Amino acid sequence: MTANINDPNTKYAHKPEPQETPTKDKLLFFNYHEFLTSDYKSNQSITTDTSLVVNHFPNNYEAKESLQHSSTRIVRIPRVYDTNRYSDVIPQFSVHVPGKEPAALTGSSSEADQGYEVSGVFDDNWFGLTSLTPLVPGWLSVEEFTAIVTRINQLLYDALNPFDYRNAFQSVLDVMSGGTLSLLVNPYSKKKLLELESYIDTDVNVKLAEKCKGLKVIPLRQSGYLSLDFQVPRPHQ
Amino acid sequence: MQPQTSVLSNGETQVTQGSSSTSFETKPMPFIHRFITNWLITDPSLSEKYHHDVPSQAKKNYQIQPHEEMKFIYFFGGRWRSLKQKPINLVTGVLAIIPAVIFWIFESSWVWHQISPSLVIIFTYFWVLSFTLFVRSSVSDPGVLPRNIHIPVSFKQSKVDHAPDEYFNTIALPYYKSEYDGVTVKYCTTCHIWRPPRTSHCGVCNSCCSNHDHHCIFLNNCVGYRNYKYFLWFLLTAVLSSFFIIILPFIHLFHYKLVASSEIHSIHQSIRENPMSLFLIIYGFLCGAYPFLLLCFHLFLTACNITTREYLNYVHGSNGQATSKHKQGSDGFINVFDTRSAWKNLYINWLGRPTRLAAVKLSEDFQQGDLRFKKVYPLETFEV
Repeated sequence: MTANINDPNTKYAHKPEPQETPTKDKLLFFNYHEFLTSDYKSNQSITTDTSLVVNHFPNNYEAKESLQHSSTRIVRIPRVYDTNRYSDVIPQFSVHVPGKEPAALTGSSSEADQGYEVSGVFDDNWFGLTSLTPLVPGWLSVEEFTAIVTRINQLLYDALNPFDYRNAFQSVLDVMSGGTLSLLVNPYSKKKLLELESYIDTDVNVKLAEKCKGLKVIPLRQSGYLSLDFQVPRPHQ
Repeated sequence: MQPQTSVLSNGETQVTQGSSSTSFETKPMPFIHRFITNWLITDPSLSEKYHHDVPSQAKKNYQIQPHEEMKFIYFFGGRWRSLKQKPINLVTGVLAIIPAVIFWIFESSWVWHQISPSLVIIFTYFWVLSFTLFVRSSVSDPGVLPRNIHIPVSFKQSKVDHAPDEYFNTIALPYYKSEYDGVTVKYCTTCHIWRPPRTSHCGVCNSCCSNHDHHCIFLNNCVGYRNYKYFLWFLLTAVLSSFFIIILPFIHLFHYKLVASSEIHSIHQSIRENPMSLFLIIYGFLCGAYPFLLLCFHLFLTACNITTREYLNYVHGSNGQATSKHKQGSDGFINVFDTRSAWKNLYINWLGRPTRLAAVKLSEDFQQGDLRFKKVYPLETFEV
């Protein structure tokens, strides 16, 4: 009933509807690096409203003119922020298999069961119709992938946990020395981060190179801890 | 004539015809000249000018200048940095040195003998801490993130065509024990990276900075993840030093009232005898007031574990009206990083944050084709 300012019966009788509490949708995690495109060339009869999922990217860690740049691609594992309270301090990466995140595009159940399959060309590269990437299970098994990412996450947590007594002690000494101690002596956190770099370089990449020459993990320092990047051979049809 | 290959300041390679050794030989730059321009103070935009004598010498990352909007200059081989702007940080440093020098010359002897040597030692310690923390905050890497890590497609001539629409959205992701009030990530179209939460692009530095608090003109540097701790302790020790600068000369001026045998009988006489004491008191008030207010503000912010940028953008509101910190709804800001314990929040910001490795190691050799040091134009949503 609308209120009539000239009619006291309606004006004072009018009861405003209770303000509805806006309902929030539950947030689901997905790989925000991927995007959809409908501007592609297809190798099958696909309807025009089916988009290609672009989920591997140019390998810009190699010089543009190099063979590595043209023969490899990058699969990006995004950062997650729901695994520990201090995610702004401690970077953590998604242990979901790429393409199996809660809000990933999985297509039909038959497409999901088939694994990664290319369906069209965009930007001179082959992509599929789901969020699945060429990394898993094409080059790494689920267990191998999970083990690598879990270990990296653990090393990051050990290095950057603000409540670790070693970090706390060195921080106090660093402040008392006016910030000079951390310049002279590598703090515990830096040592653990260098240990992480060494783990990726000497442990992970050596094992991946045995599988395939073009397969490796990009050092986290090079990617600025912004994403965990896997270099994979360029997918073909 | 042998062709010469040189690496320009923007990272590209240039091949030039070498000059004849008989008539156009380039004189090698004196060592002291090279030391000053290539290590002591390096302006990357002028780097190629001072590299002509050793064209094939490997450049360091700090000697590469991707484009004219980058305004950094580096000192001591890339270990210190500053911006090519009005050097207000130098003025700040001088303002910090002046009262300390005056105190040591005119006041320290009297305080040492008449009150206690410990006060002079404590003041000196606080002042040295304050100055070193100021230098550390002012010249260290605040947490600058590398550029061009997340370019979505191939690009030609430094421009990305057909940028995906998804890269212009703000993404909400779940946070720890909070699937409804999450965190947001946004793509920086200038730096070409997906920014983690609390990371912002500083328009002055033209770089994305991790856990960006604010850009401080007095430091001529951003305050971010890697130097926020030093900034906070600089403020605290500066305020404590100011207290010493105010209180000790004050005692000196009024000491005649406590000593019966003093030759001074009035405040005017005391000021005439010790003019620098009055100068220090006034100086301490004038120069200590702003750091004191700033310290109080940052105590509040750190107790809530919120950055200056978040507070001004979301809590206080861009329209100048305060909004509820815990207001729910489509436009309510929820600070998910607040641990709900002021002590924990204070600890995380003042002591807890561990030192990270710099994302870009400037003292390393520059690798040809390193896209982090190449200019790529910002992404655009449509073709003009």
